[in-house]
Amino acid sequence: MGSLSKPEADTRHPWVPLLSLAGLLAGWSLLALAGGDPALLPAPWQVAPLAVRELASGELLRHLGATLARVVLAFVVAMSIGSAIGMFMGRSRRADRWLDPWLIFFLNLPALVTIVLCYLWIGLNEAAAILAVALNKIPTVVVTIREGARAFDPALEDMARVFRMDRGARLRHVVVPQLAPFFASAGRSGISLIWKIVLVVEFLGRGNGVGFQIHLYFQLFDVGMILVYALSFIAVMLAIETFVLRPWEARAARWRRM
Amino acid sequence: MISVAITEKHYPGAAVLGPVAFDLEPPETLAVTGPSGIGKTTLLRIIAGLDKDFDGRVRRPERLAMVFQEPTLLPWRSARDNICLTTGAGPEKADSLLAEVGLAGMGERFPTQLSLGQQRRLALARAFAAEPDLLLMDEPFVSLDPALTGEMLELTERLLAARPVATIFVTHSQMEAERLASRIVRLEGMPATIAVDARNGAGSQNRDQNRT
Repeated sequence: MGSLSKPEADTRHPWVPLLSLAGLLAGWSLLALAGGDPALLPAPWQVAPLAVRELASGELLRHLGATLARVVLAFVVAMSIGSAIGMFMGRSRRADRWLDPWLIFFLNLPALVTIVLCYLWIGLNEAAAILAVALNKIPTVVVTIREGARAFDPALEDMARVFRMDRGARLRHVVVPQLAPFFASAGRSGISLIWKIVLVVEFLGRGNGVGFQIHLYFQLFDVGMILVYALSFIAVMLAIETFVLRPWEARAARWRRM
Repeated sequence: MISVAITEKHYPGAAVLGPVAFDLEPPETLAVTGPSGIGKTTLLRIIAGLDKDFDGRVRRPERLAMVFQEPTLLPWRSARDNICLTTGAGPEKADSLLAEVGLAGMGERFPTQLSLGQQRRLALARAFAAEPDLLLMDEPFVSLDPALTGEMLELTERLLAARPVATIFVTHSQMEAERLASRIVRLEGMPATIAVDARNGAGSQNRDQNRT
């Protein structure tokens, strides 16, 4: 469980990630100074006031909110549908044989194709946007959860059957805890993939969101504003990772460390 | 009443069990003995309803409990939750059973924080918490050192004596069988059939004496 040892390492050296990020900032500053063209690569101290202005006007939060809502919605849809299919394929060898070619097909379908087709077939609306993002993520969730379902402990299943545990109790106390590390890994890789695709979806066909703003400032050739939007959203995703995903993972793995 | 009437059980290519039939009434304790690999565990899984691919008929009560070869606990749930969530017993009952098997005050611990001996006690407590009409035990004392086996035997004897439950337990140890059972069935042959079906002095007889 490589991912589980991570939070432990972080509590022991909390300054390492901060120092590493400071190094990134320093590298950026040096590059900006060496380039000498703020239109092409503005320095951090030139981007910061832009961010403050955008924040004060409310624009930044409005677009961040729109993107975040799409990320959450697509994430929930992809995780639930992907988990259900993954469990089914992991448990039934026959289903696995029949559905595996589809899985490979969808895994190799380029994100751009799904997005364009969804917009063409469903229309330039929110449903098409969410569906396009979810369709890109579902296959990778399926692969991860299928792995988890294949690794189920048959002894625990026998135990649950002999003691007549009902379906709800089995799901909550036998199935889900066994899948927890797989959910965590699917979720972790899912959220980073999804927000990148959400930006493309917004770039191509939405009227708000970080991707839409990046499209706008791309046409205006405004690198500063592009950086403002990109970096603020990365900050939001880092915050979610630190304050939501990691603590949840640590809680789910509590029994392992004792 | 429990009624087992198996005519045949085979795995691909090999018949494991031939005709095996017996009836059982609570509070009898039936030991199934025989060399390892003879099909004792297969028989127990059929009786438990875990293996439905056999010829014959098994009548079993609704409420079952089983002690497996391995403790087979939910490692992500506390000792108390392992009893409550699995059997539907309340926390007070779980705690009193934990005390009965010598795990008083350990309800909050996770199974990984318990020794193997303690995990087996927990598995035993869980089985009795289910208040079964039929208790199945599959080599419950295997891979314990002799001192621990003695302790577990004594504990199991005590728990059984206090309850009018029908018990079937599988063991390769004649000593364990003679110590706990009111009746001993010995499997032999290939496919296995009942070679010996004999009464034994322990188990329900003792219990009857205890009661009077």
